[in-house]
Amino acid sequence: MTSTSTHPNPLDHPEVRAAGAGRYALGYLLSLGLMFVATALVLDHALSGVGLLAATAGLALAAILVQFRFLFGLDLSEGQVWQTTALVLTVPLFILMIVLTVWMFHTLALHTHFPGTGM
Amino acid sequence: MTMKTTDDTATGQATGGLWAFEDRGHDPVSTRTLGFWLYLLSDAMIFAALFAAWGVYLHNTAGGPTIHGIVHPLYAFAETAVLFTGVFAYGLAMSAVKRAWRGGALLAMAAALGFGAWFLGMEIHEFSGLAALGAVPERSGFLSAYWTIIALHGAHIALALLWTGLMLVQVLWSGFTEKVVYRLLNLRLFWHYQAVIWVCVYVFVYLRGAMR
Amino acid sequence: MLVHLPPPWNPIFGRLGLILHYRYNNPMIFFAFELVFVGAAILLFWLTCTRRWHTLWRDWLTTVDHKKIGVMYIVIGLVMLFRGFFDALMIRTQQAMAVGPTAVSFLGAAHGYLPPFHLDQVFTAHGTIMILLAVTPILVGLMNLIVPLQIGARDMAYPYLNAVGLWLTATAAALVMIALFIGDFSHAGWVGLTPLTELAYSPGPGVDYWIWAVQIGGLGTTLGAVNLLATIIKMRAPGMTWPRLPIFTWTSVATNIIALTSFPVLTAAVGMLALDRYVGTHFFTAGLGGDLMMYTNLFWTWGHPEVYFLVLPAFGMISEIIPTFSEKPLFGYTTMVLASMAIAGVSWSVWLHHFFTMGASPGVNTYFSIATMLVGIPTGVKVFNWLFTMYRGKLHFETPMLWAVGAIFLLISGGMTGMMLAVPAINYIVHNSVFVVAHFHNMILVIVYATFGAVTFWFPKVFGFKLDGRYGRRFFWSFTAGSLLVFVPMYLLGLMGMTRRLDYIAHPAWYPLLLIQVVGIGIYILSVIYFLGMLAVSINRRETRRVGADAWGSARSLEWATRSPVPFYNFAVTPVVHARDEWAWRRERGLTDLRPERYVDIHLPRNTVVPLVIGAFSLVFGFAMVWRIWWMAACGLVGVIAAVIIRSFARDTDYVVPAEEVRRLEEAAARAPRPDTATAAAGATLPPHAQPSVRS
Ligand code: HEM
Ligand SMILES: [Cu+2]
Repeated sequence: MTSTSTHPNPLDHPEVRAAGAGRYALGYLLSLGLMFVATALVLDHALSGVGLLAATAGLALAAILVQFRFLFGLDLSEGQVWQTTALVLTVPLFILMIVLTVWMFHTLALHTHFPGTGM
Repeated sequence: MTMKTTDDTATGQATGGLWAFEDRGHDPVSTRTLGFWLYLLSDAMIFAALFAAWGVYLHNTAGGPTIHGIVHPLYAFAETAVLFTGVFAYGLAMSAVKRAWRGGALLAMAAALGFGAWFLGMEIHEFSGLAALGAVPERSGFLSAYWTIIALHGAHIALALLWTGLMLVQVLWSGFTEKVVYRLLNLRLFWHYQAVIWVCVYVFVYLRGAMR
Repeated sequence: MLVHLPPPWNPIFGRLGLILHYRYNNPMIFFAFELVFVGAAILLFWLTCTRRWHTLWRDWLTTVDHKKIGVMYIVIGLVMLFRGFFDALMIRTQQAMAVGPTAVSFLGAAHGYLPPFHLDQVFTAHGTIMILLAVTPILVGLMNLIVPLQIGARDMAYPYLNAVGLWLTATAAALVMIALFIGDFSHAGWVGLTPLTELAYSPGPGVDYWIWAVQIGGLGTTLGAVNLLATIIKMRAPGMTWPRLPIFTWTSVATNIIALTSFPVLTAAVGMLALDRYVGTHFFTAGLGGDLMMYTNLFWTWGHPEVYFLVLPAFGMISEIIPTFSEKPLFGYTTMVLASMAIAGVSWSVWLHHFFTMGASPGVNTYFSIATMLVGIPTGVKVFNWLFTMYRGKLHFETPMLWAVGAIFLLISGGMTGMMLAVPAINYIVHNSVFVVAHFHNMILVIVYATFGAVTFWFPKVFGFKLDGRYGRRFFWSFTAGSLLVFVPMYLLGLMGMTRRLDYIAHPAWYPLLLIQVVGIGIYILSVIYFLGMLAVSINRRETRRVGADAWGSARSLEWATRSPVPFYNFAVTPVVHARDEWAWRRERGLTDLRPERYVDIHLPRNTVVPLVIGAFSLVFGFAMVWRIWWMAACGLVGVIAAVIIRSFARDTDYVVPAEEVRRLEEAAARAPRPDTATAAAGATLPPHAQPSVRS
């Protein structure tokens, strides 16, 4: 870094001030709770195959959003807007990559593999 | 589509001068945390690639163990609880930092270290169980992907432990200087990021395996 | 855990015993060896005779100055470009010699002079080097040099990390060069075809060299992307709002978003391959649940965004050069920015066009075909914007402008053939033919042209004097002639059915076209000579070629609002930005005097050896991993970690240039703006307190 800080005491920096035990506790308990629900659903076989997959994926998404909000403290405030922007620009790429890959290999398997041999 | 050379000063800042004598001071702390955040997004892409592959390799068992045979969701849930507690402990360290409470920060970081190590221990225990079953990564494409995803997350935890240990020393050594503080903030991002990745690992690897 | 390897292996030397089995009787290797070692010896001798070791150490090896780092990136890139050019020369001559059953044979080859295993290494090295170690470093170097100047920053956001990225790139280049002499290199193409790269089919160390060069270089590029993005977001001068960002900086944003998100995928793909080779997993093996197309998929998930990573900065350079030499602002700035972002976005959804023939369903192929063609829209927007910028402009065809206009022609022809390849029905016919090779060389030439243009364009900014125009034009025209003679016949051969990577050409009817290609490569040699001549003449006569701040008289953006050569602190006082083309705005208002009313203290980062040390340890690590010398690899890794930790305790990492000192330097430069520093990027040498502190 080349220049002096505008915050002479680094502990006065907004990102330090943003820490909050309550918020972290909330993020911790909520995401653990969501994972517990997902586990319970799966162990109960409460739903059928695809439904269960969708439900647990939804719970995972919820847990991740909870963590972004309460652990990372992401929002659109001046201090966090770039973090949020970067995330919003990157997440579609994760999805594109995973979905397109699974899609193309699914159709490939239908064309080229013998079903059920696991090869 | 503008053909104008300029958009005029009216929209810009108030100053009339050509040079900025006040060193506006780029904020080093938030510059550091932004860069580290970008790095984490990049790192997450490695996991995205592995998960994309996982969606395909899940079925490539080559006649060996299948996912249903090797996952123990309750054990993995316990791992989840331990890891999240470690992550939470590091959060508490940051709220102690906020109050300039050195002792509290050190204590909470030590707790994070403890839970992180516990988590790694559980993971090693799980792996040695798999190895005893012959479910080693060399057995099939499926097992290669399984081990790699979990071990890569574990390697991140190991790095978090190393880094936390280093920061314990630095907090003792130099107190809450600017450099120490932005490293602590970055380490916070790193710990919290492990929780996010673990949610994906837990749901799409372990719970997926427990579904029929 | 580790795979079982055939002997020899021992704990101390790893697999180095293998080199006893190589027969070093190939005159070409000796020639290369001589070139490298005699060259190095001359360099060392010169450094010693002219007592430049100290300067080298202080001003270059330990520097964290973004301009010098940029220059070093470009030098590495040019050296590797030269090396890659030798490989090309060998490929072209081999193919022209190995036609038909009566082909000549030398040096133990059945046809021509390169046996297949050797030729395969040559084209693999050629592709890997050109894309990852020549063009990429040159582009990263230019971004490093120009972006901080364009946004009015003193340096990058993380100068130390910047140096780490440089030395990691140098390490990757060094590994590839070492492979030339110790052992061999991968023979599986720059794309690392699986399962050929698996241990079962490539048991030697060649693929491992390729793996570790790619991994270490890729890490360097990722770190560079983080740095450039953070710099652009956080370090802009007052008034440099997003709508005023110079267009090259905008394309750097787009391109580094691509690098940041795509290079990790390469890391993952090559990492999985490494696991297969070292641990014995079955990601891409031909059996036991391995899926070799998964490698192809992941490689191109990186690979296609990567080609746009390369081309977007080139678009940015063209967009800077054309307005300057048309004396007009860029037409359609906003659409240019949007087009760059659109290209970056769409480039993430087209990668399957590299393996249409894999056998996915028609639905999948259609999706990727349409997505690929969509790229044509923003690219077309760019071409028209450049044309409208030139329309009714006052055109000056100086060398940079020649390169920029040449690049547009190449972009059109390469884009057209890309569109052809994007149609699956056509692709099934020409896939893996030299038509594809011609297509992507055509596109990469766009980048090369833009880069040569940019180097001539910004050279006076960085070094304070212009490159010679007469030699520059000769260089341009001979390079263009060479390009046409090599790649037009290549398109034709592709349509005639010639597949790529051939060691023997069974079809004598192709011979004339292959010969024309050899003529072309001969003209390329001429262009290299003109290039070196251009450097020599310009450096020799630099005193008569000095320029002021605005080297071309019609430049537009902020980097021209400081002295040439740029002082080590970039701007004596941080500029305030009033307009999109700040320098043009100031020129039109007669505000080009660079002397501020007063000076202020400047904070700068201190030199450090740590990045160099990290690079050295990672070279040790990479070399040891290639030869599976575990103790040495552990030392390398521990060395890297230890260096990082020790550096983290350094306190004294910055220093201040007092306002008085800045005044003194500025006034000295104004009085005698001709310091004899042909090689020093920053003109003024560093003041003594910039020395590395003892602790870092
Ligand atoms: C931006 C500059 C571009 C570069 C640097 C570039 C580079 C490349 C490279 C390196 C390859 C193949 C390499 C290999 O197989 O070893 C390739 C293939 C291909 N390119 Fe491009 N390309 C560019 C633009 C385009 C455009 C604009 C299109 C279409 C709109 C396109 C369509 C294709 C297709 C369809 C292939 C696959 C051909 C095949 O393997 O059958 N490219 N390109
Ligand atoms: Cu492509």
